[in-house]
Amino acid sequence: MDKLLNENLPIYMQIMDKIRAAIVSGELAAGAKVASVRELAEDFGVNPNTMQRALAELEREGLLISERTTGRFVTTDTAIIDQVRKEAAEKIVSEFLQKMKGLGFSKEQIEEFFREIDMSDGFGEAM
Amino acid sequence: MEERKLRLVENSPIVRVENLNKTFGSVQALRDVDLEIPEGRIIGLLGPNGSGKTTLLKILAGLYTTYTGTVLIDGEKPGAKSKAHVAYLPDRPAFSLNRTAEDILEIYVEFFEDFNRERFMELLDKFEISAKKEFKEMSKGMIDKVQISFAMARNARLYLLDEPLGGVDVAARDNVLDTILENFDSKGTILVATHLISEIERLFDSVIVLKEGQVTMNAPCDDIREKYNSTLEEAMKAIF
Repeated sequence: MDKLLNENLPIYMQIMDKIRAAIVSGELAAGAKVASVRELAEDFGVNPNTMQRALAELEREGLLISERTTGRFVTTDTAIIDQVRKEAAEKIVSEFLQKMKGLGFSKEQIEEFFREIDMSDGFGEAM
Repeated sequence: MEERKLRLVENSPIVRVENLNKTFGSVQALRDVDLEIPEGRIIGLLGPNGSGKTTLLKILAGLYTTYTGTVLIDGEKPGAKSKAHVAYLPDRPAFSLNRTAEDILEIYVEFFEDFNRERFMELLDKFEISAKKEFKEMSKGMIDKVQISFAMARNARLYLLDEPLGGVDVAARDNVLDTILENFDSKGTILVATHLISEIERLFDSVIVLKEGQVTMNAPCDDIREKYNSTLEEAMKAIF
């Protein structure tokens, strides 16, 4: 919920981003049951209708599946989840490349940068 | 799932206002106001001071009875019958400062069939306020919380909240807002007049914007964010 309102994006889209991130990272596992609209609305601190809209859009994307009698679940179709993960990664890379370009890096310099940088950074000690 | 079905159907309006005009002497407080508010929504009533927010709420609450135009709450003109299922939170305390919440509680129990005593006590507990404390010993923020508790402890069809966070300090605002959300159900409708846009926006489905007594905007918050590519507060600054 933190800072949900400070960004310029519509709130339902910000909620979608957060749920997408939870699914892609495995925090919300494939096939897991999703909490009710009401519970989620309270957790996110938003209007239930806004929550409903975010969930409906995620269903449209195929990430969530609604079962008439048992509730709402994360899809078990891992291909869809992988696809969303790939799209999210592409978005981050594209933003990264734009920023690097803004710092004056050429394509070759970025590649070189990657060869030299300590890749364990951000992966913690275990890696 | 029941909840979901309720929200997917196009809800019938709980409030219908047509061509509403209200004057105080030579001052026109509301001008040609047309509104429909569906049930199951939380709606923000925004606009600068003097734009007519409180006047509109008071007409809906049945407190101002002289106006021209049509005002219907669940199909009825505001009055004794509508008051039974409309909870109104005024912008200033409506009770004597020598009283305690416990005193007022008995009046509410007597007057409002939809008043839930247990819920009221739970709300006061949540706000850590004693029902035995006289209002004159309370801060403005505490009195606001007592008033919110009285309003939200009713099982009303329509809640009219006039600046519910006016005296509540910044740190306690989220607690009050979460309480309103928790007590909201899809059969009720909440209309909140406020100037604290960024704090309360997360509660709203849509907002009605008044300017000099006229409705200048009536749209879902996320549509406004999309259109202005900004937060709701910034969009409002652009309008005024």
